[in-house]
Amino acid sequence: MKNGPENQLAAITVILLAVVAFAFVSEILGATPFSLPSRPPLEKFLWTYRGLDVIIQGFIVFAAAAAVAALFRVEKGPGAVEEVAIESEQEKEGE
Amino acid sequence: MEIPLLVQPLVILLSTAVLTPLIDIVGKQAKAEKIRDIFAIAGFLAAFYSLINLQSAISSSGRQTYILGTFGVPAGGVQLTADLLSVYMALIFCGIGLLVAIYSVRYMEVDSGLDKYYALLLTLVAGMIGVAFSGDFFNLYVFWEIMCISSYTLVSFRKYRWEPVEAGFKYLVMSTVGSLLALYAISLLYGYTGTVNLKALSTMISSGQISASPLSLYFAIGMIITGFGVTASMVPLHTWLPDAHPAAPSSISAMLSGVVIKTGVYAMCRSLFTIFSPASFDYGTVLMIFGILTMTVANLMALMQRDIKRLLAYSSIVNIGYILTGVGFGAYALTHYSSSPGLATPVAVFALMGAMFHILNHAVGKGLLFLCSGCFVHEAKTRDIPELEGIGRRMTWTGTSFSIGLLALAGVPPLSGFWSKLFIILAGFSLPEDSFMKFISILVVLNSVFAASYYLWLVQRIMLKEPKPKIAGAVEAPASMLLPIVILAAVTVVIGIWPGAIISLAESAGRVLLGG
Amino acid sequence: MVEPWQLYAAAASAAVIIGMYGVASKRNMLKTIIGIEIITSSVGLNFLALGSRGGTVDPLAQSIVVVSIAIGACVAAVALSIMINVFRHYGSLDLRKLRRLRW
Repeated sequence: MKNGPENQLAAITVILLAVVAFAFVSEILGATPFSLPSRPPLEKFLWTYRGLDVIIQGFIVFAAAAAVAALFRVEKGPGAVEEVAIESEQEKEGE
Repeated sequence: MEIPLLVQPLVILLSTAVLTPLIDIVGKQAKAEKIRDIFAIAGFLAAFYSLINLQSAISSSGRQTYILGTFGVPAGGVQLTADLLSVYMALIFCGIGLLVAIYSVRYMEVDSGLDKYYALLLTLVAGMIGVAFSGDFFNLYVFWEIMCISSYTLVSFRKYRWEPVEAGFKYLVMSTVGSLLALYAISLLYGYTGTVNLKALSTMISSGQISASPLSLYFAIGMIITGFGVTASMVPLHTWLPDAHPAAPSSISAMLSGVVIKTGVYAMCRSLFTIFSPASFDYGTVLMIFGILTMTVANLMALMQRDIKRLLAYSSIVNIGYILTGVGFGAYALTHYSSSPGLATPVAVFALMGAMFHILNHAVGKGLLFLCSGCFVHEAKTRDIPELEGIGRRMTWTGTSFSIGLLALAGVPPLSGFWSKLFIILAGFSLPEDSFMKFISILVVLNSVFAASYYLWLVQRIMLKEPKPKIAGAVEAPASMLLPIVILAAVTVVIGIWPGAIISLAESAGRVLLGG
Repeated sequence: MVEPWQLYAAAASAAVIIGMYGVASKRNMLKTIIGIEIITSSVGLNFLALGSRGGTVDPLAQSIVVVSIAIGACVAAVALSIMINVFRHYGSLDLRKLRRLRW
């Protein structure tokens, strides 16, 4: 197993979250069921009551397709040139 | 087919986004590549015009709602709601998007794949406007995700350099986990009430019909604040921002700092104030404490930066701290003084008005600053402040606008930032017997003075020093890059001198959170 | 008497925490993305578990999960594209190599 500060921090975070979630889960386990309105089955429900969600999800798929196309495009020129000022590089140059 | 006014901006932006790659193919055939840029700008203009119509329709006839078809809300239908707060935020998002699109025509010339850039910019603004207009919590999440996917890609758009790609990956991981935490909160609230509609959740939780203990509801509140707080760059969830904003192309940095992080604040405020009435749930204290923590940590980090865009990125985090503190004042006043509403409500309205006004001021000011620094970097090919000293003397229009932006955010009267900061600070002092609020207000004043010091220091370095020989030959930016910069600088000055109209807009927007 | 939906809800909450641990502590970027997908699926399971108390699962919960699976797939696609670009620059999928941006 790898040791290191990141793993210990991650483990502490997880333990704290587990405590909180356990406290919460025992709360919700005591909740009584609510009365739901009668809803049509899924195949009708999705396209009628939740139609707006499905349409916008279609546009998400389009945006993801544009994103993947943009990230895998072939560059023709050198593109933009920018220097970045980073502390560690500056220290190395100073020495 | 008549499209209702409420969905017109979304339909315009999304259809323009889908058509842009096709127009690009046409343009490449006709050897006139700029057609797609003009098409995208036309899409933004049409959406902005329709939002102005929507604003006048709402102020005359009250809030508007829209349901697809006839499927009613109680049975689980999706509802879009536009009230004065939504259209206020949507106008800011679309306006900054329009100016960034005009700026990108020349700035992004050196890149390829620009049809996808404009398509993603259009879906980014469409997602933000959708978040502002949604009345259903899960629908808000869906629009939120379209905004997030567009913004992850736009940060990493210049993928031929290592910096945007590294920053984009970190941003993606942190922001996705945040969105999923918010979705987890939605599932908890669904588990208690059986609905995800914001208004229905609010009635069910405030009437006490459901068998949920306050502990579990506070757990949901905590998840909502954490989940949306990652995108709103609240400390300690802010670590993605100082890497992502400098690495993105400057036009996208202006969008990110100006409007995307404000969407996080908006989603947090809308969901908290609507579902959990501030009179029964105390989240004002938490928002105030995190607001102060955000301001202080980011102020201290901003001093140590040598990269101009990284300094501006930390300053964005500071301003989110002001906005969160203002919102926190409003919630705190309503929680702790709920027995005397005649005292608490005006203070809350005042604080929320200051926060909403600051959202506008920071969007305009930070957009202006990032666009100007984009011009500087475009000419000087470096982001290092010691290298950029004095460049404002060679690029006079850009340099002057940059200084106006810095002075406005520093809170120098009579520019716009002065008013919004003043309102937030005065709101903290409005309840004389509450010493906690006064203490927080004093911390806001101290942070504001501290921030003004490094803004003025940056003005001095960019404008008043002698330029180094390397950048002595810098020429002024082209006109299409200067146009949005000059417009934003003019807006800053005009709002500072005549804040009345904006104050009434911000106040009615703030009132929506309390009453509607 | 512990009902089935309570077990599913508790398991889903535990799986969210496992997913967050995966995102926080793994060195390989691919494992981080898998952690994100674990969180997505677990939140979906939570929706379904909490919606199943009336005998049949509530169609509202089902439609939310269907849409969120599609969204999760799109986020994974974008994340993997960025990861491949990182590999092209750094030559490795080790998250600890992405330390050039510090202050």
